[in-house]
Amino acid sequence: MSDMFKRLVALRYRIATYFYSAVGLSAFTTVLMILVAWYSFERITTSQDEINNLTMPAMVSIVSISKLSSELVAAVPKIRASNSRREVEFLAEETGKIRIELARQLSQFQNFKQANEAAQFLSLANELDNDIRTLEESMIQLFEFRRKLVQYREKLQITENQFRRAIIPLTDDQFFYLMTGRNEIGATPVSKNVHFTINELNAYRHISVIEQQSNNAFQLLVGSGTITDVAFVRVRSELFEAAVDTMKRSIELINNPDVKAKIKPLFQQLNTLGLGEDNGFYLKEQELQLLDNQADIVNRSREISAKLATDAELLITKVQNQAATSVMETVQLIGTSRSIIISVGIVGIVGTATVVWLLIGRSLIPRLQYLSKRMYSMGKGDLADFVEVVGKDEIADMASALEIFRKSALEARRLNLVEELSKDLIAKNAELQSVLDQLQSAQSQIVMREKLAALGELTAGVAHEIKNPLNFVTNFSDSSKELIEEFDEIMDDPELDDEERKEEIESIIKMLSDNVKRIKDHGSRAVRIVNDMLRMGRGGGQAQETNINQLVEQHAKLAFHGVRAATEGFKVKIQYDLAPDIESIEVVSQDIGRVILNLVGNSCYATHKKRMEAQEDADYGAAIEYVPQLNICTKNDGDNILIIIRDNGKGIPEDIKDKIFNPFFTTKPTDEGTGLGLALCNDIIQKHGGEITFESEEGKFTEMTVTIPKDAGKILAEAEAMEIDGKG
Amino acid sequence: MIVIRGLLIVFFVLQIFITSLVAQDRPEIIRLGQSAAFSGPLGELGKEYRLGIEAAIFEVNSKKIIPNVRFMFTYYDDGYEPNKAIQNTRKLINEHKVFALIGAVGTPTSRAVVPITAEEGVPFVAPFTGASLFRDAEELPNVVNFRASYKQELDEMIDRLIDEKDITRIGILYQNDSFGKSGYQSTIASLDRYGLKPVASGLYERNTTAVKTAVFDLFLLKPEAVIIVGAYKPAAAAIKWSHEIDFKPLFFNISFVGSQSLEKELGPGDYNVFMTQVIPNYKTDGLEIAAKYRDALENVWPGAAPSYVSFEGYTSTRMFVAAVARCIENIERECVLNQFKQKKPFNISGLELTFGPDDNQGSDQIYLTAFHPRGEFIPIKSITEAFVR
Repeated sequence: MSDMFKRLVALRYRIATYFYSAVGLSAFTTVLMILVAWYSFERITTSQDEINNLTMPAMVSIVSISKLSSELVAAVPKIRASNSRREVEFLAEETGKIRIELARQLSQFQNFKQANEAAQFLSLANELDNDIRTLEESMIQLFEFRRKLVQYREKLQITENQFRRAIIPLTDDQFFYLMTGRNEIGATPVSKNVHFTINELNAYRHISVIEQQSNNAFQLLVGSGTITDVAFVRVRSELFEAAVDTMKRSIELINNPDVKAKIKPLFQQLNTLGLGEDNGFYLKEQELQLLDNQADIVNRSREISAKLATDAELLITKVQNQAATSVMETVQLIGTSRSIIISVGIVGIVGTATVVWLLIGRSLIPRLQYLSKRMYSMGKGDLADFVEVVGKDEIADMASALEIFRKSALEARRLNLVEELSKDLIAKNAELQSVLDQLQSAQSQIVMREKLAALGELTAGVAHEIKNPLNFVTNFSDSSKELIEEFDEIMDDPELDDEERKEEIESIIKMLSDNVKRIKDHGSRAVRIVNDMLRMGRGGGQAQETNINQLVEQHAKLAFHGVRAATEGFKVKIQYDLAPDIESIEVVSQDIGRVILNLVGNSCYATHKKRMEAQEDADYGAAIEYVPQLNICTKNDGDNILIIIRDNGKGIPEDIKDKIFNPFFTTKPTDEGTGLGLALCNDIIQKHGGEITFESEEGKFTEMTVTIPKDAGKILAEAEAMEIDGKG
Repeated sequence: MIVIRGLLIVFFVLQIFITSLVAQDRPEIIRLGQSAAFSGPLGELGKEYRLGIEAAIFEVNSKKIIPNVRFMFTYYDDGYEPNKAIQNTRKLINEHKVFALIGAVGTPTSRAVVPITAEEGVPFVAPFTGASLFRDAEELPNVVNFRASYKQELDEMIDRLIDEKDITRIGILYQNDSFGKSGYQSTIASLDRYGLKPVASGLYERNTTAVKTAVFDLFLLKPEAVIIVGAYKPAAAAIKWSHEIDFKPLFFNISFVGSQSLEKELGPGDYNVFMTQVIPNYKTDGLEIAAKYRDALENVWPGAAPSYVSFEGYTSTRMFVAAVARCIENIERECVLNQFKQKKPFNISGLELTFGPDDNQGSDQIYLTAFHPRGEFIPIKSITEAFVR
């Protein structure tokens, strides 16, 4: 138990303890934040639902209600301004639709808090709608009256014309009769006491009255069309009645039955127009009455409109307030939640940061840095210093482990050092040996390749050399065959006597023996050439007595033929100047031959190159003055034999003069030279204890001088002996 | 009438069609329109005037007086009613696209129509009226008159009465409307030149023949001569009733009455009636235009009686055609109207007409005629000549 307790107490120093407590704290605050946020969202959603489900539809309805009610209000002047019954009916249909829609929209409010206001609004709208219906009916009536009025006016116009056309001549006739007693043209006039009487005068007066009063009555009827006040219509109607009464009286008083008959029906018409059914005054009165009523309706509708507008505004305000309250609640809730979340977050972050900083920042990191530094230095080999151990936590454990490691490392190092060194040495040796072997094999390969190249060059020359004697052999063989045939003929010829036959046979035999001798000579020459070649290829590195002059000439020719065979249009003039006092000396003739071959080949190449360039210039018009020339001479200077090969070719440029003996250096195109020729020559001559020197001027000449000591054989033998020693 | 008119139009169209086949270029068509009274108390005047127009157009088209231009003619009856005249004119301008209006009959109708034509820039040619209000060239740039004015006619009458007969007691009988009033005022102005006033006046209602009261008014004051400004029916009635009551002054009618109509109304009888004309007698020998008129009328309406009014219609149309001919390069209303603002005179088959920038009236000539008891008006040189019988 006490053990357990002690271990628990010890745990308080552990990093893990601190770490877990920091993580725990941060997890706790996060969970707390999530809880708060979840709760807030829940509340906000509830509040939003209220806005969406109750307030928003109410707002939408309100907007369409106020739009519909304004349309309803606008319908009043529209109906008032319409010009036909059809227009009114169309508008009536429209307003009916608006009313139905309005009622539908308002019915939604029964579910809301504003049901009372909505009901009030609906009753106002219904009132307005009733007015509109009345107005519509009134308008239809008005059109009916107007239509009647138009008909009436046409009738009035016709009647007036008829009346005037009748009454004016009547007045005219009556006056003229009264004055002159004449009724018709050509008729005898009546006497004055007949026509100029009180009766006739009265008749004239009555007709005049009728004319006057009819004028008056028609004026009253026509003029009533422009009246706008009902009261004046009635005044006019009374005046008309008076005029008609006066006319009636006058008509009654007229004695002349013709006149009476003419006027009476017209008078009846006039009377009907002014006093009968649907008379002008009545129609006008009705029209004005309707207009008055309509004006009242319009006024009332204006009042209702104002109320509707106020009510709509009230409704809007209420709904808006409700929406605003909901929104405010939401906003407050969001604010509170945010504050809580932020506070919790800050506490979590600050707490975690403090724990982390106190533990990791202040104690853990410096110590870890110290340990890593120590590990670095130990890795670099500094194992001398001790590793400090501080504290009781995991890092202290690590430091102790490192100290142990350091000590072991020190011990191990000491043991490993010697063994490693010796192993290294052996490996290096083996490596060096293998590189050396590779080098040697590579060298011999290169030498072999060079040899093969030289052999190839030689083969061409040799072929030419052999071809000549073989040609002779063939020719002489053919000739001999013919001679034998001739001999047979002679032997068989019966015409010849013995003497003649003998003579002929002798001459043929002489010719045959000559031929055989020639064939033999040329055959031996071919054999000799082949032997020479064999010697060159196979002769090996054995030093032997060699005629230098012969060697030089032979190999120079070979080189020339080799070049000529390989190069089209090759030309060179070779001059030999071989010293006769040169004795045979001991050299590796095959090697020296190769040197000659190489040097002469180079010279041929140099002259050919120069000639080709000159030719190229000539192609552009320059005259060819260049004649390729090669001088080969041997000299005896007592201790040494000199072989001098001079050409008038391209010469050696100044800047490469010190490189020409370097292996792999060449001026020829890559596929033509190996760059080993001169290097090998130099090697060969040096082996013989001699040297190769040269003189050259670029574009003019090159002179190569090979110096071979006469005791070259001795030198070669010594060198060979030394080589064998070295290998051992 | 409608049938004849239809045939006439068909004829014109056919004629134009045939000419267009012959000629390479399609002829330019110029439409003329007339709104006049063809019915009612002035119906005879309108019909007569129209005959003249038709005769002239037929002649111009068939003789191809203007190459590549053909005239077409449309007309409507307005019955001497201003409202109807307005309707007709609008129809002619907007629907028929007439180039010009010609031969409107009467003062009130012309007065109603002129503002419309002025607005549209349509030439208003040769109205059958002598009212002064149409003779203001500056105010009415689109109005072209052919005939002398009422004022000129009245001046002529009064000059002759005073010069030839030494008559100064002159009365006036006039119609109670703008025409009558214009005549009345012109008479007063005319008399005023001699320091005189009408001694008596009679007034009658328009569109009636109730003239007896007016006759009695004149009769009471016994003027030696009575000038009548009115329609032919009331004029004839007034003359007859005057004679009936032994009131026999010299009656003077202005040309608007229409001599033929008046002749018809009066019938044979010795009435002492005179009439001024604004165009020479159509029977005048040696007057080229008169001969052409008679030929043209005979061609269009074989057997139709020639008259002063139709002669005036013919001459007026010829006058307009002459102006169009001057604009042959560019036949536009403006150009044609402009021809009537030049001083260059028109010679219409021997009849000389002059216009000017401030003179929109082609003729100033007044011709005096007297009613012969056999029932027709004959040209006379002086009033005295009429009493030789």
